[in-house]
Amino acid sequence: MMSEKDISQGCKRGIANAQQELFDQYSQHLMAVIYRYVANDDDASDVLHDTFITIFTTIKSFKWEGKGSLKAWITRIAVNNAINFLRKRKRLINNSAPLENVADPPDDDDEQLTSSIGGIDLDTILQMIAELPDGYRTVFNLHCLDGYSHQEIAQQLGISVKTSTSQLARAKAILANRIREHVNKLNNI
Amino acid sequence: MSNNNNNNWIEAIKNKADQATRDVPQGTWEAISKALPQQQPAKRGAIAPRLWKAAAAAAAVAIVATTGFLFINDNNNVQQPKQQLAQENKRQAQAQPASDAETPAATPQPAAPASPAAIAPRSQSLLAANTPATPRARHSGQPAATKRNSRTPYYNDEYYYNDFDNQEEIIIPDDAYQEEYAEFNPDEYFYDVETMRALEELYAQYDNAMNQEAMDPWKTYADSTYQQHLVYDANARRAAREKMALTKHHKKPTMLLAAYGNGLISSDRDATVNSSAAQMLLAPSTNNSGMMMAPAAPGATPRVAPPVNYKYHHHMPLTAGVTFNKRIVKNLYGSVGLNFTSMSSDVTPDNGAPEFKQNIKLIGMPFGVKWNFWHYRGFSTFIGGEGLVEKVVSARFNGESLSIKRLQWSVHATAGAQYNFTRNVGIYIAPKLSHYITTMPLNTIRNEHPLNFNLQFGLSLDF
Repeated sequence: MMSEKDISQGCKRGIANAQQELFDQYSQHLMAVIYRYVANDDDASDVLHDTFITIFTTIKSFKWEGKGSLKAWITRIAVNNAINFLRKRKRLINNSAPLENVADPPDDDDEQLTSSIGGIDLDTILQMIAELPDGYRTVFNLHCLDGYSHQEIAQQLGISVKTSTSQLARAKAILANRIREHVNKLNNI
Repeated sequence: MSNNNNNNWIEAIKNKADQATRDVPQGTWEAISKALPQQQPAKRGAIAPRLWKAAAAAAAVAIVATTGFLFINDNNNVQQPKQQLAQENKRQAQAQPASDAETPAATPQPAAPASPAAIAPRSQSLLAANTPATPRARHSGQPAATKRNSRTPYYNDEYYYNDFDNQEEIIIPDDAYQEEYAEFNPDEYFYDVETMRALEELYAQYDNAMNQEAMDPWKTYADSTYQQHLVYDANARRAAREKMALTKHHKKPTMLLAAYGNGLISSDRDATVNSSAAQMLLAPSTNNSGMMMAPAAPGATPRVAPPVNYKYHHHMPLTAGVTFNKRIVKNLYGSVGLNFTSMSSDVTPDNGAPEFKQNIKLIGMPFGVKWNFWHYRGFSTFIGGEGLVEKVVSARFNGESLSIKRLQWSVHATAGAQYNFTRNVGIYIAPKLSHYITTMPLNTIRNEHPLNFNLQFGLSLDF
């Protein structure tokens, strides 16, 4: 298996083996990232295709900064492509889909939620995220899972910082409720 | 990401999500790879022109090296002896005039021919000067012809023979040559070196005596010996070609006479060469044994002087230099450099003379390629090939300075390891197998061991 550095150098030279190695090593990770945003396998597959084309055509601008830098770089490209996809599909315009009337989770609920998540399988968690409204889901993914600040999210999505924080709060509230529901369901069985 | 304690459950989700993978539909890579050539055709083909450039550069280096090698070798055949002769003449001019009694021209009295038994040991002689490569007449007055070395501008494409009766070289027309001597192919008939040296001694005495009648028995013997030693040996042929360059001087005072004239050898009946340097000059391509014969003194019978053998103890040659590497393509580097080599030997004559030193210093230019086939961080390992041409800048034999014009060519194969401190600077160590193609006029460790193994280490600069 080629190292990250060798892959990046090979791809910069347009070597087919290196390109395929990059695909083999990172395509499933990118597919999962993209799926978190677009919440649909067919759409995720399309975005993944475009993502790899973008990666191979822009990799000369990539600068190796140590282990993990390539993965971080291609993940960012995948996120950008996913957001562009949602924007093109105008799925981010109506991001203020009917706000669910949910209450913020109480402070003492954090510990309980944390322990609950340990007992929930990954696919279920991802499914819960995928079921969030597009706008909420996007902000949640960007801020909580991919490390964007509200300022960056505001610029990226063309919304205000206040909107970003508001949507995130609601996304978290919805997600927390669903986790509780799921745990309750499991406890009742 | 929040660092808020209330968001630990978010952190837990993130940790799980970071591990997430999702199956990719089959055919995705095929679709991507099909799309790629249209989007980046230049990238895929980009490596090919670079390889072509590398191949072209390597071919150019090879052509230049080969051409240079042939050119130098070609010149060596002619210029090396000429230059030595010129040096000898210079020495002669600087030397004190010899007395009349010692001048061969003043001693026209016939010398008695030596017996074949007395001549035979001379085949071991160091005396290599002016050895002709031309087949001579079997009988006095019958010219033998040869085609001169057509590669030298001096001879052009003429044919000639030596008219011993009149001590002249006669240029014969090509037509006449074709009629009489067409069957002679100088590329096939050359003689072993030792025989030619012995013959040359005979002819030198013949010239000195300037009495053709008296020397006839010598010459007859020499001619018959000549014919008996026809060989097809490549080394003898090459040596003969070198000696051909001296043939033009045949009718003039030979190097032997020149050496005689400047006092390097004496006319004493039992004299040997007075100077070890003179021996080396007179025997530029011989090695560790030698015998010099003095020309005939008035009324004297030429005698064979006792041979002087040398024993050599060679010290380890030391080389210091710098090599610059330029990356041609990934992991393939072209290299060029400059180095300095010092070789010294202790020389012991077996005639009781004290031991003396032989020192040779050379400046060389290595050029080659190396391939880095493995790296790990700063470490790398490589294999490489190298050509090296060296010029003697100083040569001293028993304290006397000698001029050596011949270039030393060699080829080297190496495998080694390198550690780079920075991107461009590193140290390396590399065992090296070397083969020295051309030999030096002086006996060195390289002459005795043309193929040898050595260890090289130093500083490497990669750009």
